[in-house]
Amino acid sequence: MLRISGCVLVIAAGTMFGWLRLDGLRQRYRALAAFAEALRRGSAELGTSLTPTGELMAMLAEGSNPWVSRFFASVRDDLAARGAPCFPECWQAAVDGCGILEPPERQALSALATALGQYGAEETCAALDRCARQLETAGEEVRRRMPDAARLCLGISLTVSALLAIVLL
Amino acid sequence: MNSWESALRLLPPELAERLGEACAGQEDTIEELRIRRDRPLCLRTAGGERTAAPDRPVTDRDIRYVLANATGASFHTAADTIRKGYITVQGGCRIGLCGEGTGQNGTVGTLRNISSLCIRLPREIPGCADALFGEVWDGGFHSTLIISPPGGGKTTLLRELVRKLSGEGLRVALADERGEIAAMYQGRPQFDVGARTDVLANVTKCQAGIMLIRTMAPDVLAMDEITAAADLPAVLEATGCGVGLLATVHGQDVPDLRRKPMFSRLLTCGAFEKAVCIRKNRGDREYQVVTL
Repeated sequence: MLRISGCVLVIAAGTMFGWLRLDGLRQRYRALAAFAEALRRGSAELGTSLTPTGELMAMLAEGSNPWVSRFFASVRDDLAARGAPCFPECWQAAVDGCGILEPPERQALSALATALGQYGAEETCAALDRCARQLETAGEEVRRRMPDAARLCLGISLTVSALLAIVLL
Repeated sequence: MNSWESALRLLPPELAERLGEACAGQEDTIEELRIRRDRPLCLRTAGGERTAAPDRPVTDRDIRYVLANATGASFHTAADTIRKGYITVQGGCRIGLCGEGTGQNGTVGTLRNISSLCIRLPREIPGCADALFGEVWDGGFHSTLIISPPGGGKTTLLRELVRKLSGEGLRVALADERGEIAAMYQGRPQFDVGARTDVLANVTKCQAGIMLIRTMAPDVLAMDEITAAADLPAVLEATGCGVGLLATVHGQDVPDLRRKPMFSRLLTCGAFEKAVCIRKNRGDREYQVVTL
């Protein structure tokens, strides 16, 4: 009885592990889509109202996705504390601190550190839109890989947990 | 935040500290800061000019630091005023810019390689209009033109007259093209321009004047520095609508204006009943009121 319970728990743990890996991918996809949406919103706001950078960061910090909200809140707070001349450093610090991003996405966002606040509205909106497209593409790539990743994750975790269960029995 | 604190916050910390030490106790007398690349900071007071921190010339990095602070890391927001050669910041300071113009077909695209900045520190001087107020307001407002050379105190006097007229119950509409009179910041005037004053900032005087006349039903239209023929239509529309006018213009006195074709038209079109000429006398300002 104890061994059967143990097997059930091992299989459950394996399934949970696979599911968590899959959920991580889903979170990444949602975060990248939310980042792209936020950057597009920023571009529209800036293009229409010439919103100052600090206000723009505060506005984008009110987004619903926690990764995006934390990112822009970090830039907003750092900018308020360190001053406008340090904006590129504030932005880069937020990029470096965003755990859900992979190197190509960090690179795309880092490029905005030297574009935001330095040029006219047209150029700044173009930079925001360009970065949004890059993040959208990365998000679509994650979504495209999700079915295969699901099969792989769940398959491997179930297989390993089944083997462990057999060894236990 | 007053204009001195606002100006200090623009500077790199080292320069701000040196400037603060050099001006300790005399902050109220500083009218302008001049920042020129490779030169020491220069201060202008009513008594003249002097340098601060002569052993610490301004660098290119210092100028970029001031510009980043002045624009709030938002060149796109300030691009329009930069094209016109200035930036207005919190506290009402206006920063004049010098550098290399870019553009095509005779229009200025922007300024680059900024080499010098002039930070003007505006001040409210409540009571500065008390001596002459009775001549422009005697139960009714007499349209008034304030005349003085640059740096004479026209804007300070204009601001005080706007406040006092508003206090007399008049609806005053203020066309604040460069944001120096009311110094609007996030929708709030940083100077007291009166409870019945409506401010339209960062719009050209002519457009602002016409918009205000047509939408805000003012008793008085106030504007600073009529300098171009393009400013005249608003003046004439106000005159035609029976709206009182309060404006400033560069010049020595009324005869000096009469010699200049554009300004002589201003005087003969019947828009103004009084002129206030400002003269500096050993650091003090004297006001002479003339009936036109």
